[in-house]
Amino acid sequence: MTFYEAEQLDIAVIGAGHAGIEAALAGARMGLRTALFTLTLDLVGNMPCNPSIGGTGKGQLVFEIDALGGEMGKAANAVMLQSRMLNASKGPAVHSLRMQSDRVAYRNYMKRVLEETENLTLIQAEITAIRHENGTVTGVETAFGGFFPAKCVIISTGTSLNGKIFVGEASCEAGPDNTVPAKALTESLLEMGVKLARFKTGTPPRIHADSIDYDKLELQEGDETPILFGSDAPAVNRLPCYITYTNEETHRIIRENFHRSPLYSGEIVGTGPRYCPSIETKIERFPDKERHQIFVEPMGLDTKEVYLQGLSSSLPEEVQKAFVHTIKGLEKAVFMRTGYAIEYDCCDPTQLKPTMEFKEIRGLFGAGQFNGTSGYEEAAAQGLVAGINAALLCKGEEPLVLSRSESYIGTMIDDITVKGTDEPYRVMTSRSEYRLLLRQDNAKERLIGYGKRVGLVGEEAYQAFLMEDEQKKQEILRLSHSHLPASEELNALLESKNYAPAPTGLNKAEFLRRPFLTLEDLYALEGGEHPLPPSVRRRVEVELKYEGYIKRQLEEVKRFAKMEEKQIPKDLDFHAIGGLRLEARQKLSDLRPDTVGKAARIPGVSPADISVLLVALAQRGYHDEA
Amino acid sequence: MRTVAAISTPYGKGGVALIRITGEDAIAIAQKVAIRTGKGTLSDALSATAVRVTFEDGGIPFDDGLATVFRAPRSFTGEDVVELCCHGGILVTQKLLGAVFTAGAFPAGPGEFTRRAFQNGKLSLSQAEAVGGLIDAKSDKYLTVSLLQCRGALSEKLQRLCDKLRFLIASVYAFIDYPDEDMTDVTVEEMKERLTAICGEVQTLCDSHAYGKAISEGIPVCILGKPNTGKSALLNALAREDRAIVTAIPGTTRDVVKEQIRLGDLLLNLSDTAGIRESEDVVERLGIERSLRSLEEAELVLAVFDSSRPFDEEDREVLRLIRDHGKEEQTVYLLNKGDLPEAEGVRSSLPKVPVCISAMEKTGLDALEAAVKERFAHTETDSLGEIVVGARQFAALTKARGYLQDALRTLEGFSQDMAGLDMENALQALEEVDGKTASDEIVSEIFSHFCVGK
Repeated sequence: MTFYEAEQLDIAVIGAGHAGIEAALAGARMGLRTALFTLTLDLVGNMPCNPSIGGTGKGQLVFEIDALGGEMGKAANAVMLQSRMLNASKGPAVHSLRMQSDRVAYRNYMKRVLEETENLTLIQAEITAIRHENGTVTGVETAFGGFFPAKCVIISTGTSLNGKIFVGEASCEAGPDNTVPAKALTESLLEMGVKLARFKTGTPPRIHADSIDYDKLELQEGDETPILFGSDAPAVNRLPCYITYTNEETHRIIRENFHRSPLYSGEIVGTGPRYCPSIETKIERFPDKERHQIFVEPMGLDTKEVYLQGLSSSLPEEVQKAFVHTIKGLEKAVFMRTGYAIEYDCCDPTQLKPTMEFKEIRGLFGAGQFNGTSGYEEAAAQGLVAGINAALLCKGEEPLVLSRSESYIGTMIDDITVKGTDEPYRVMTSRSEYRLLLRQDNAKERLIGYGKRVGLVGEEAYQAFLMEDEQKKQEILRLSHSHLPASEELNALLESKNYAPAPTGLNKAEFLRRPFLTLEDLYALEGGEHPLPPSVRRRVEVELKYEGYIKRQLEEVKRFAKMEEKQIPKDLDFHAIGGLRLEARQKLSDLRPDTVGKAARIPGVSPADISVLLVALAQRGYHDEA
Repeated sequence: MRTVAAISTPYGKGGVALIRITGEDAIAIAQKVAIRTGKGTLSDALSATAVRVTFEDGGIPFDDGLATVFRAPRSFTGEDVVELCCHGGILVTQKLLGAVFTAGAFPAGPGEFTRRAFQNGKLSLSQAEAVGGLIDAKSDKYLTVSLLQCRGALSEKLQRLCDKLRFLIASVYAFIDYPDEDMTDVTVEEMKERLTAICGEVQTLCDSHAYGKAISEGIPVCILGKPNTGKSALLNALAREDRAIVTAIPGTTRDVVKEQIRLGDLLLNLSDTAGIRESEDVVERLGIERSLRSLEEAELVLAVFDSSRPFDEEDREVLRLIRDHGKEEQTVYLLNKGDLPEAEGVRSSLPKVPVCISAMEKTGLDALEAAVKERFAHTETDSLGEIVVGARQFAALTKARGYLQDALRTLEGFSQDMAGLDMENALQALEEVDGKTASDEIVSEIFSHFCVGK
């Protein structure tokens, strides 16, 4: 095929899902000529699975994306159907916001934002190959014969790369929502020496709202005072969700048809996510569980399609119908889309730097499901980091690397690039050892500075943050140095929460340190209005209440930084270090961590190996021992 | 890692001496100095089977002996190990070691063999420390404890505790990461219950340290009293020899006299101190200051009173000192000179029922022994393997206990995410006991206490 030379680009982004959108917006907003290629312009920012943004750990990611100047949080806020703070009773470190989203409105919002962004072109085209010379990318080829020269290429192909869909015994080559898959690109990647893997994921059936007997379902309302991502603006819940459960009959049908699942018949070779199992996997793995919870979620204001969260399945269509019809309230459910499993090509993320650039190919970046993760939020976060770093590379500026101790984004990227992943990777609060510091409420405090530095956060937003930060500091100072006088109200309140009375009153910060007393209680006792915006109030309360724990984590961060600063030279031969156990030698040689801190996080490398490594580095004169 | 060698038997003349070589080149090096008698070479010798050899230095034979090859990973260190057994003369042994060095081995550092065993995953840290215990043991009980722990008794106990804790941590995070999964596997109440149980087990381990220390390095004991109550005589009686000078002159003992004695399984590090009184004598005053320091460090105080003389101001001063140092719990009160008629009012002036002895006549010592053992006794013989001996282990366990108590408090009022954090800290402290998360500093510290050859 002969190619014509199309427009010169700085950054070419392949795939307009959640990763591609953030990557392209970041690149263009930082002033680089950017093109975003998609297989179909009608499904930009599509949600082929849950019609929701956020969730445990994922909510934190969206707040972080927002703080850095990304788009996901703003889009979710704009199309919110219902907002719920998960884990509200389990402590501020794990509060996670989850929003039901109007799926079509979300796509429209994102498409419009992309179309209106300067320096950005949204192009419908299949990218069939990435060109490169001397270990540096030079551009991309399209199926219609275009060659777009580019300095950086970001791969965010999601589940479309060599996608294959399975429903029972039936299967076809397709991307999500039955779209055309991208097939040619795989070969180009293999030719470049990129190591690929095959993962799979799945999605549940969608049914018609009018066929549901809502009287039999439990209502699940949104929060009384719905909260938005990174904004104190007022919000209203528009549609509720519902809850129902599987039962013994559902399980019996599924069990009797295990053999018809492509997962068990060996049709599917890809590895699925342990943390987001299909209903058949759940029933196989937890045979004693009498029922599984199903969330019945609306997909938008202008559609009657309803999503059945918890029923992801790749069983044959007739079996899916049969087991859905055993569920209370869904007896007469009319199917609109059948659940399916999808298998796709992705890369081994240990080939990437923490900037998301390939170690061996200059200018080539990966983001999202292509990097072996799962989830819209995970994808968007990597897209943002890839886009920022591609732009910085084009400008010849220092890259942006986020650390584990300052963000979930950094934690996720560190996890996948240092350790790799053998299943689709999902962010969870338990993945962070610093989760007390990585809260939703302080995301801006942690990250807005970076957003400002690279130019994604404007002066106005930055000044607004500085003002709020000052308000927070002043309020903490005020509460630490003022006294709540003894009063009948105070003692009555203390007594009602089982605390000893305070005959001489109480310092206000001390008051807040009592677990069952809130800032709201305090303001009520002060008898005044509280002019502070809700997000500032949340930060004041958390920082005072959990001061002791926060201090302890900050000390751990310091210890972590010490190990992280110890560089491992690029040419160090791990095999030449006697005393390293064989497994450690192999793992370290394969993954080549660049700091001792990263080496310590690799499974199979023991603390003893790390001490050997430290001694070896000291002997070779790299840095002082221990 | 380079191949190292050292003499593993004590320095001096003996029947046989053992030189141990460990590392990748151990067999190749040994082959150059130990020439197999008859057919073949050391490298074809069966593993763990001694073969006859002639030791040569530069081609000149100087001794006949045995060599045993242990091939990796089935050896003490997990590497190739060769043990060379020669006659135990000082010259012969030195000559053989010199030949081994010439053949390419490097001198081993203190504890290097055990350290390598630990680093190669052959021993856990508590097992490695128990190796030290086996070698140092001065009492049968300590020997038993060390052997059981060498075989992994304490490691297994710790492993079980860590597993239980890890399960709880996982439940907390499953709760948090899957709020919608209506999981009811472990309620907060159950969590508290299980945590309390784990905390109790850690407490038991901490408590066992008093006994562990008593049978290993010994309990610091201070013998305290006013002058001329017979403190030095008591030391001599317990030591079964005339260790301290005993006279009828008050103030004979001026410095602290130290002696380690055995009381059944227990080791007592006795400090006989200068009698407490107001003194103008500079030397005696310095001695009294030292007495007070020894009182401060003591974990057991033997307070000696003279039953034949009326209770006086100086006796009361001794009681005050014990109280001011917070040692009342750790004190055994002794009424000495039981061979003389008892003065009135002495016994009733003491805060606890005293043990009556006569240090001169060596009577009442059984009762004293019983009183001491009661304080440090460990009755359950089936858990000897779970006795915490080392100070380092004790410190880590104490830290773990602190975090577990924090977690329980946090579950009371604060939230689960904080409690999870406390539990993770506790887990880390528990893993530290067995070196699972030990830092480089800790590991170096531990093995620096071993001598060369271990």
